[in-house]
Amino acid sequence: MIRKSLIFPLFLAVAITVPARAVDVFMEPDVFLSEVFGTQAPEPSFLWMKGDVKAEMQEILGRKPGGLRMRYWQDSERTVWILEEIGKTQPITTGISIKASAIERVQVLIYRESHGWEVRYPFFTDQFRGMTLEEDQTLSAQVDGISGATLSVRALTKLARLALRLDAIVREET
Amino acid sequence: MPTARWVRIWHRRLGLTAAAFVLLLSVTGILLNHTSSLDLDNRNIETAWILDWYGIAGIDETARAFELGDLTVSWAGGWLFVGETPLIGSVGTLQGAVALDDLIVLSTPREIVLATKEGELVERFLPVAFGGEITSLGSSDGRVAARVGGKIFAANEDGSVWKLIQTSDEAISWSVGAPIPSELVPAMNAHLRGEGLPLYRIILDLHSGKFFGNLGVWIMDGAAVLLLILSISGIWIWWPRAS
Repeated sequence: MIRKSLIFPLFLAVAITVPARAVDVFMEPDVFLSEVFGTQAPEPSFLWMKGDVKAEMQEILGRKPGGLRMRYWQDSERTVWILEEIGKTQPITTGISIKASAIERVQVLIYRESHGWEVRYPFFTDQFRGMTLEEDQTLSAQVDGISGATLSVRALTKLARLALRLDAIVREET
Repeated sequence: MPTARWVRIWHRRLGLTAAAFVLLLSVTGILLNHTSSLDLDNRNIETAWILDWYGIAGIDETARAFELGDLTVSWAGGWLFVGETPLIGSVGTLQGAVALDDLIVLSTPREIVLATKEGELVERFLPVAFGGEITSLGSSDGRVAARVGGKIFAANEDGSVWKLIQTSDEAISWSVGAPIPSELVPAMNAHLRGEGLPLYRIILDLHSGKFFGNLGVWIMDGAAVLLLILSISGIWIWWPRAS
């Protein structure tokens, strides 16, 4: 009788588990670069984060950016950026290409969060295509959110704004 | 009477289950009622397994360090350290480290990290063309090399651009990890764990079930339902005798 009485409490104790976290590589960075440039990607260029560049990045990201320089890839038509921003707790690695000061493509490369992975799909990323940066550093069109993926949507929107601004800085410098 | 026997058996089983919850709720409830007088907000818990449970991990068996002359670079709890100075967080395991003239080159399974010897981040990037995870970092003739699967890639003089090279594994002096030097442990643990967790937070989470995650909250809801059932079954058992 005592053993039978313990079955139910023991079942509850065993049921307490901790969910695992996975890292999903949706596309390797070199594959993304090859797809964007059509051929082998050019050698990377570097943008040094001087005071004003860093301040603009901080304004867009809402946090102090790390590092002294950022790499990007450039040909005569476009610049390509591989950027990271934290969704809820983990960074989302995203490739963004900018052509003629407008977004050409957004691609989630590596996703590490347990929720919000819907942002990887074209139905979400395709809406960035053609967006430009307004004078107040916002995107030229509204980004439609995804229920349950608010933080990931916010992170990708920030990265889109950042890539457009960095592209403008690079073109101003050259 | 079969129904009465069945109710008594289940009343006993559910009662035993509920007892654990009643004890937990009573003790934590009394403590929470006296938060101010017991100063629960200002008592910080630094017990390792509790901080681990909350994901506030300190140095554990996965931590590792690499010696670069008189400088030590380490990885623990998702953080890279140069000496005692935290460099960056949210990074994978440190796979190797090499010192150049002015810079140190570090690698995680997917990233190359360049930093100054003073512990300032220069750049972190995903090396394109690697197409896999970095397993080791080493050097040969003053150039940094990375092993990715069966391939070896070498960097230019400042570690910024990497290309596939044809060389033998033996030609590279691969960096070798070691346990974290004991003199770095206190500072690293202090950074990783902060000031610990207030005792109030832990007791409140035990009371609500959140200590065991979202499932714990549901279990506490289940315990409340259990007590309702016990009340009803208790009255049912008592009722015939009373009448």
